[in-house]
Amino acid sequence: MEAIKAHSGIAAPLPLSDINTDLIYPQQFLRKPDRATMGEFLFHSLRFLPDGSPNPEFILNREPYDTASILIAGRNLGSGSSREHAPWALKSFGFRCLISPMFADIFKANCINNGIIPATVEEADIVELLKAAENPQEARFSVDLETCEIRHARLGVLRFAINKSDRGRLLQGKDLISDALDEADSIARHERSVSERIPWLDLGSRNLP
Amino acid sequence: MGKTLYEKIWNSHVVKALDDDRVILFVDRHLLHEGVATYAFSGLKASGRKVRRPDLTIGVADHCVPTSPRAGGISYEDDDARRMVEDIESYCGEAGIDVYSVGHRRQGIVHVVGPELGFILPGAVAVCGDSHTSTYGALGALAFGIGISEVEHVLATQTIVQRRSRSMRIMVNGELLQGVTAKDLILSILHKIGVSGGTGHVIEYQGEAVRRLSMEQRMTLCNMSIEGGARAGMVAPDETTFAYLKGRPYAPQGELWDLAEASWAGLRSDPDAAFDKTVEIVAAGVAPYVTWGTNPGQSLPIVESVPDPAECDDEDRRMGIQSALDYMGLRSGQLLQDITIDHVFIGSCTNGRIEDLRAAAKVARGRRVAQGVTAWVVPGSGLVREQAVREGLDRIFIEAGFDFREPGCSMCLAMNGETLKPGQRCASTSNRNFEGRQGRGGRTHLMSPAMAAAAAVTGRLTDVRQLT
Repeated sequence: MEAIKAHSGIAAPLPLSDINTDLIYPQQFLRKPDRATMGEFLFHSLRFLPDGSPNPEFILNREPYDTASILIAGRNLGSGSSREHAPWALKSFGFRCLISPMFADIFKANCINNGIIPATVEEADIVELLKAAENPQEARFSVDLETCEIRHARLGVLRFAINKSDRGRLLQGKDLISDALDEADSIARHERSVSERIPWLDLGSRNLP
Repeated sequence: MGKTLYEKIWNSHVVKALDDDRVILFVDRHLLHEGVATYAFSGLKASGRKVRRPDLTIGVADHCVPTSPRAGGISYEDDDARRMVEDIESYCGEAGIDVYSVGHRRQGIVHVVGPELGFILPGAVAVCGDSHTSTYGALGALAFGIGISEVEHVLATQTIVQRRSRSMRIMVNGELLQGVTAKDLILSILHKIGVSGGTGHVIEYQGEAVRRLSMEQRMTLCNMSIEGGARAGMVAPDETTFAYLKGRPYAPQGELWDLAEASWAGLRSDPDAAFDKTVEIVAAGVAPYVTWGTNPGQSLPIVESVPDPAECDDEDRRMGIQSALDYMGLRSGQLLQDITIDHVFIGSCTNGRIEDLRAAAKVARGRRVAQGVTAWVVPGSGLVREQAVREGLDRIFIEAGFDFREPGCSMCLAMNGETLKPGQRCASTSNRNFEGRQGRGGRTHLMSPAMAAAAAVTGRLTDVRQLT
């Protein structure tokens, strides 16, 4: 996972609450093997009309938002299914930062694991951010992960919240698995203690080192 | 200060506290389905990593599996679907992981098969790359859904890096009325707390009405905790739990069972444990519920009518109601019982167990599926299907005009190609009524199995209490 420290780009406003991961990436594309091209199916039912042609009304089909890399949305973004296809598709489309007053838990973790910044802002700020982004002339934003600031030519500087450890992981682009593998001794110690304290949970005690 | 059930399980699974607010948590039980296995194993292979504890993972094929008859071979939606099922079989085979795929008599929905096997035990930490992993909390486990990167992490390390959630107690006082099920209870809870009311929390369900629920009903309740945004839902283990588990294949046997049971008997929140949030529900106030909108919190008792957005003073919610009504093709003020349906789906990890099929069959017995309605019963597993056949439920369904199918997730998420057509309306026992969930343009109303069977025979949303 590559590190991300700051990002500037066009922000697309999506003034809806409770945007679920089914809407972000619908089920008929869940079997696609290639993560890198999943952006084609992002927001499929909103982006494309039933005949398959692009929906000219949808924000991501209009300039300059067709090149958006920041998404501004209502509360409870990414609720529902745990499908990691949702952040894969967002990233494949070009999104690097999502701004919302509230993120669903699993979706937020999936974003962090894919190097996408989930920036949490106050409910009052989201209204201003959405309004600014809706004007194509004002749709450019900068997000600074080191200072937790969103910068905009007219709105100035707004703060966003992100958990300190999540922020650290994004800044360093750290691979969680290799960190945990470094703790192999602690894991083995725990496994031994499970087989002593709670042996019924240890299905493979016979195989333990 | 006492501890909650959640804190107790959490504390006993901390491998290491990291320098920040996170811990490395040990995972006792990991479940895979083919919708994640393909991606997770290919990632694992690419990085040259191995499965640390194949004995603590099982694989189950469910998401892509068709539920049409299998006698003449399985007709997958496409090659990608077939490949995913073949992948979970071969990857699990190579790694030494027990796998329950098509062709195995136990194959079914992972969240039905896992508990049937006794793979989920009280006090365990259980994860699966599926949000409805919360189901297992019914057994007194701490169980939550994870992403695919995290599945890879669990395979490689048997741990997961987590931050502790806040705690929420939902106390259901008194008894549920006759004809009211756990599905109605959870839909009423979601109506009350909303679809993000549980975000950042682990829910523990307590109270007399919860104690009286069967294990399968507790699974229905915990299953939909995620629809309130909660990380997990759980019920402290008791005699109901022990009776359910005893003798199951992965459950402890003999002396180990006695040891386990004695330990589980003390596994509950202390009386003086503090919860960050408490919600109280009067069980007797819960009626049979249905959803009218496009999220599970947009639900109402069946006797009511479609809401009017104008009566809502919160602008965000008003917009949400209006857009749901537009998508669902409903008018404010219309009686819920006047809504006609095209399709019925009885199944899913929420309501695809034997008690669910019994409840639906009781309503279907001696009646006929209404003209123009297609009604499906999709058993949650091979064992549920076998049991239903043994009890003659299949005959009841078939004689009533239902299609009695093979096990799988099917139309709950419609990933196997079994979908509604645009504009079709479905009475469904599944867990999500999101736009397009059961197929683009499809309209979903969530309800209990008995209510869905009632809708099948009348052709419209129906208060099942009027049929019996």
